[in-house]
Amino acid sequence: MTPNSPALPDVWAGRSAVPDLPSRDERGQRGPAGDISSGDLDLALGTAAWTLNGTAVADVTAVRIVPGDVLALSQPVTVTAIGDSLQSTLAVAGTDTLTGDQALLDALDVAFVLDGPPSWATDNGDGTFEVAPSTAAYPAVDADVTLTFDETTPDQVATSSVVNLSSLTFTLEQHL
Amino acid sequence: MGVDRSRRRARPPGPSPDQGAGRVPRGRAVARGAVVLALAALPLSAGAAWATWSASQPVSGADVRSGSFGVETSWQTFPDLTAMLPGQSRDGVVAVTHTGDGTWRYRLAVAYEGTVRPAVAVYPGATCTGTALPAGTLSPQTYARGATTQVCVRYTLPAGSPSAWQGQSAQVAVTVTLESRPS
Repeated sequence: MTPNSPALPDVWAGRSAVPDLPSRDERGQRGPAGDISSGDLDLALGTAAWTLNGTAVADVTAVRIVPGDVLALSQPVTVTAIGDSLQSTLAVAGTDTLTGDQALLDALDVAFVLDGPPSWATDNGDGTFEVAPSTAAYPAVDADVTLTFDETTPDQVATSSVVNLSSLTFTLEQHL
Repeated sequence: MGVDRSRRRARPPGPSPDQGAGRVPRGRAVARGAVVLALAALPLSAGAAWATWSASQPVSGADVRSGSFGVETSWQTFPDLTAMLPGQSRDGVVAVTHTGDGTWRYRLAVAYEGTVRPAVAVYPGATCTGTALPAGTLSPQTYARGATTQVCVRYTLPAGSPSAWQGQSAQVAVTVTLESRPS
């Protein structure tokens, strides 16, 4: 109170004398303390390795696949799905938008599996995996993308053809 | 936050505060209504964009190429099929060479043109010995990319050939088909 302030009427003086009402600062100290933190959703890749029918391939661009072949990419992925209620799905998208020779596209089957799979990933049975929420990034796991050339491809269909894989992406998406 | 901002930008349908409904031509009113609807739709699309998190990484930018597949054949030993008598056989050896990619097996088919129908038997290898490979049946062995193998073809005029075949001729076509087969 400044020296030249008028004297407060009794009613004001009486109100300020209520002992149990804490000041604003006191109320802040008594409430729940701490920060609110958001989760994290991330996908990181390691070094990929190609195999043809189970045999390591040094340069996939030099491979010439034939009917019956299984060309596989083994890609270490590190999944981060932090959030108490975070529900997310790991998948490979873009299989419908591959570009290249149509006959070869028709003869190729693209599949995605997680090695194991690990306990935190549940196979949905449709080429996708449900990821359990965590408090830290999961250890890297091998994600295998396989391209199987239909062994019943007749005559010389889809010979000397090219398909580009750049539309394929690993996706980790939250869902509600 | 985005929703609130969008909602503030979206003006409810109806005339603006400075316009009376009776002063706006009908056509103009319809056009403005469409604009308002479009703005009102913004919160919905914005909501779909921020509702969930997602992360993605490319699988590979590589091109995947299919191989080629072909076959070349030639007679290594050409069979002399002239002046054959019933009960006689003549042998020929065919070299079968694969061109292209992948492992393979072969099958042979026989087609006749003409009166005379000699029996044709095919044997894997350079001699017509062992077990014949029935026409249309895949070879028992799988061959490597670019490999060459020999096939012996035996033509036999059956012992009981009809007399009508005397002095007649025939064309016998043996077709070799290679199939891509996993090793």
